[in-house]
Amino acid sequence: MTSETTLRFGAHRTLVGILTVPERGRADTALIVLNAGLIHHIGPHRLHVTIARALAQNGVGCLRFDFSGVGDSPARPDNLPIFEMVVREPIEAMDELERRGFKRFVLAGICSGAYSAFKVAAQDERVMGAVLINLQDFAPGQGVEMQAWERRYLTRSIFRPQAWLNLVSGRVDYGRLLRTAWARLSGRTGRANVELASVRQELQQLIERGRARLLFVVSEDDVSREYLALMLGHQASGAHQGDRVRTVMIPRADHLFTRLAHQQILTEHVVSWTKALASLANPEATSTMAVTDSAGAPSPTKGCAA
Amino acid sequence: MTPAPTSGLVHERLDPIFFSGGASYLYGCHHLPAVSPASAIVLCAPVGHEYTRCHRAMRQLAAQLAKSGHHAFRFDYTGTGDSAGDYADATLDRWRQDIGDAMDECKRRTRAASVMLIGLRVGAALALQVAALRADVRSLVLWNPVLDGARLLEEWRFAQRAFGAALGHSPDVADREVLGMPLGARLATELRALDVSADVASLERMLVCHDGGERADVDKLAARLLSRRHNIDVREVEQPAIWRQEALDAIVPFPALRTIVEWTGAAQ
Repeated sequence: MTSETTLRFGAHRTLVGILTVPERGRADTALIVLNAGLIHHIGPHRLHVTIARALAQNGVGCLRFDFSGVGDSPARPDNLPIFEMVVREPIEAMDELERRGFKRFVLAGICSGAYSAFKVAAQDERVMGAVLINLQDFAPGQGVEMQAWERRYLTRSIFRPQAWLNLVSGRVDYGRLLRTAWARLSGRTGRANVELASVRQELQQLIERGRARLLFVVSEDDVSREYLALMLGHQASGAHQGDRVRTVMIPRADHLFTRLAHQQILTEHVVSWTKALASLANPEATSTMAVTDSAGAPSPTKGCAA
Repeated sequence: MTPAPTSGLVHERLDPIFFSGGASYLYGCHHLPAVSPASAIVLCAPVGHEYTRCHRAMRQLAAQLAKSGHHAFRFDYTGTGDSAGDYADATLDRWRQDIGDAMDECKRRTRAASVMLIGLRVGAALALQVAALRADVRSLVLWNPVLDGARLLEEWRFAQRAFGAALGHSPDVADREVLGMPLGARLATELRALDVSADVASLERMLVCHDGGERADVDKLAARLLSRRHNIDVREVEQPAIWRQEALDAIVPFPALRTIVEWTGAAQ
């Protein structure tokens, strides 16, 4: 059983969120789930609600909230630039939860929410882990995006009959296809390499500092798979990741996990990995859980490692 | 009544709450009016995948109504949004009860004797049915109402099959799930038999704001209500079909919002 409470918090008390906690006992670890783009705090297909309630049943608290100007939260009155806002507001969420007795935090997000989670994990030492789901929004429309799409077109799409069918039946983004081809033909790779080097450096520093563990989840049918390969570079194969970075690919899933079967697999991965992480930090709090491996990762019974 | 500000940053006052209590609690969000006195309006959301696609528009509508001097109360039906329950177990009967609970909560919070209901898509059909059952619905706005449940189910299944085809999936789930949400057998049966023919004699006024996509159904409804001497306005407003667009697009159809907000102002 779980218990849910509405919260208003933040510097201007304008952020709206829902805190889900176990009905009995006290959770000292909380997962904070961040908006996927403009989709409000329940998440795509209500996934954030499903994850929050499943986590609370396993002894871990969960806050889902809306960034300012998204979902139920009104706009901030201080005109904070968006790339600063999506870092500052999760920190304000941790401040609020600390006041409520939580001690450790895991951040999670899909798409742009993963971007925020990554950036906050790199800045705030209270973050013990981050679940980065279909991360791809470092610089939309810029060089890395073009590189990822180029990689997808050349290594996957050209071999898929369905992709060719989509091409001739109008079910592809022709604008993106042409932009990618133009970027390739015009040799605009310099800026992408600079962006990529910056992202890799940030990731490397996060790993080397040894604070936060990372779970990357990618959908097989989403371009985030190519982003992840670009981001991790030579570390993309599991053998080089050590126990601090875990990657999981969900076969045949799309960007927002539209199929119910894929939602279930995603939920299982997020819940078991977070629960395991909470248990490593505080074995007594979640003593009933089964830790599946030393990395604190879920048993890949339905998904598979990327 | 003090005129509402028309420009500049207006600080929103809203109150997110859980209400109804017990295991079947509902989530609501009360947008408080910027000026007083104020009337009470309950917003009835679409369902299924359309709920998420239309959330931003419903939230903006509530904000505009509050800015114009109304109490606007949004809520999530059982099994949707932040409310308790699983969507797979949802029924129209339960959702009609939820609208009644939301009306009672809104009346309790605002001390209003009656409310206006504004419903979008299936939310409009449910609002119409509830208005026929209760005497405390003063006026009603049907925004792109679903008036033919069987046709809605066909549209949803077609969309699910198209989604699956684009990704090369087999169409095996088209009867059990629709674009990310389960479709329970009971809900499908209830939607197929959706009945919007109930009389709404207690209403003072009613607006149908639609995009013309289902004009024949709207005309039929309007003719039936007019024949019973109901006060009904029908406005065809050009607007994007937001329930058919990706949730990440989150478009707000301002022409429709303007029409509804102006009409609700005049309805006071």
